[in-house]
Amino acid sequence: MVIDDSSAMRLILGRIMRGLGFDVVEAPNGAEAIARLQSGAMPEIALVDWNMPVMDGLAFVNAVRKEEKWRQITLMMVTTESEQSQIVRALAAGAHEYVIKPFTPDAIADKLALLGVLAY
Amino acid sequence: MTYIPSADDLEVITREVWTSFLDGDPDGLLPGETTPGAEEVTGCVHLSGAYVGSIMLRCSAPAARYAAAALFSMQPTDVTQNEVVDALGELANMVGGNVKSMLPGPSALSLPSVVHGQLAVPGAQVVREVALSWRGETLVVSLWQQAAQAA
Amino acid sequence: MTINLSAFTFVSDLVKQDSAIIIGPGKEYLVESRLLPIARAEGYGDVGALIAKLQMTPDVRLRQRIVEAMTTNETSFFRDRDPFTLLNQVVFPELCRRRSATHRVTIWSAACSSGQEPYSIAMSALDHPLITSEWQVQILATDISEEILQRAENGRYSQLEVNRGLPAAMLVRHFERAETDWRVVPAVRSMVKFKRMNLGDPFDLPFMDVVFLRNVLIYFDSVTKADVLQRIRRVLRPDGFLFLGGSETTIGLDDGFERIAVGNATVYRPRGADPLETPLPAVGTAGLGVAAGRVSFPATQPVGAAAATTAASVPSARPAPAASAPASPAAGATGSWPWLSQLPIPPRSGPPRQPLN
Repeated sequence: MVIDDSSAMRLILGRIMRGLGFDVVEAPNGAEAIARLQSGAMPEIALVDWNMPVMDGLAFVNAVRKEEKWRQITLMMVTTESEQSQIVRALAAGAHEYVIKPFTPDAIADKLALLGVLAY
Repeated sequence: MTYIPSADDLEVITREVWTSFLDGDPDGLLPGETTPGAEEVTGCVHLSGAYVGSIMLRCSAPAARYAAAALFSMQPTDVTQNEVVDALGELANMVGGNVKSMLPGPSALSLPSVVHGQLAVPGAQVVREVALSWRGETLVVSLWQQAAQAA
Repeated sequence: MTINLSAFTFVSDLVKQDSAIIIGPGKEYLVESRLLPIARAEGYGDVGALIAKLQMTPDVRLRQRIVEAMTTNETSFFRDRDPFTLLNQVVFPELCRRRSATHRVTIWSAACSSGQEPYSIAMSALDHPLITSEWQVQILATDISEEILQRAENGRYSQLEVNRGLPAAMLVRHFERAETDWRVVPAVRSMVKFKRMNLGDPFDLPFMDVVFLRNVLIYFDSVTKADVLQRIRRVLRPDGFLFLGGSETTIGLDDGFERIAVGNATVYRPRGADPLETPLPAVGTAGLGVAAGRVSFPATQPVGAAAATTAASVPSARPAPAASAPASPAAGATGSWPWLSQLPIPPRSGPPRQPLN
């Protein structure tokens, strides 16, 4: 699942993920992503932007981590927020990895391998 | 005295964004002039918190179209307003977030806004600015600060 | 535009003379792409013009720049991942048993390039549960290029570089912001000493417990390969460990080493070394990877090339999903991400680590 308010970014991340063999669903903010999960979507991994309208990425991570049934979802922030303190906040909230924008496709693949979501 | 990113820092950040998403060529961005053509597009994000101000990405209309075309993998001639607004907004967001991390914190980043033409922020002034040239078109990145804070 | 054969031969001869590294035929593109920045910086229109100038007028400085550009490796933090898994799961525990009298471990990162490898080793040591503050882990990092060593010693990496291969938890623990870059913190930098060294020259080094010589042999001809391996055996302690690159081996070059393989990961030990006291991780337990942990199968299996690798290597690279499923959200957070409970990590206390020599 690719969650980002920029359709350009959803396109770029979606293409990278499809290239790595994943099926991709998209959501333009945290609230719509939650709605998709509630209606049964169970992604292996969610790539989560931070700054989005309606519900931001940190709120999304908190919401997902509250639910037992969504525990298996790997959460990776992909955001321009790049202070150390912000990375710590996201990890503490339950994000597993963190990619700072801008990124290259290799960086996404590297992190997925690190998470064991992708064979190295 | 708090550290304010230099014009060079703005350039480095912009270059990283451009290299990653638009060009792949670190030499694609060259030093440029501060006067874009008549028609301009500006992407902007605001900062509030320990630092109050804005980061703006102002470019010529053709540069905005090229950027949108590159991000969306389209022909520049097929790009619509929606794509230009989305692309400039996301570019401003990426540059802005990285600039924010160098400023005194904590500050919050606004969602981006994109306008046709120049954008003036009431009560704010430019504290850093770098002018670049990309595919022969002008691109100006600037950091603004509220006058009250700058004083 | 590609350079002509005479220019290519000139560059490959020059690189072989100065570094013993072979640039095989068909690598014109490599010469072209590596030397273009130099050509531009020196004011030549293209690489051909740069080489023509050097062919006519010898220029030591220019020659060295070219050799450096041609011999610099691409690298990233925790490159290839598997060697660092073995380092954490086998090599460090074994050395902690064997060096408990001295509490001292010496590691050589040969051809360290811009420093990601030695710093990855240093971070692994700092985060290792058995390597407590009374231990001294000293890392010697060498490279042929003075320029790249200066970069490495500085320990500054761009955002794009730290995005590659480095777990976010390590980024926040072992780096600090430095303008637009990130810089390795002093506690990690002080564990690494950098030194210029040509692997073709005699080694003047203390004994080493571990040698990382990865993706270096591939550039040498087989005589040089055998020679380097033999000389490494002389600086490696009899119960030490040698890591090579994924496509490299000692087999057929130096039978003084024996190979230990766990899943995809391989390490070499001098033949006749005492048997390992540390049990090898069972194939399939690989909490492999530096991130040691967050692992479950993708709902959608990677396809194409990735799928082929997956099919062949998954059993050794990832545990079954159930094994890693956290028991509760809270346990999940710490269970799947061992460092999370410790964030943010204060600077390590204890005596500062001594540099080598």
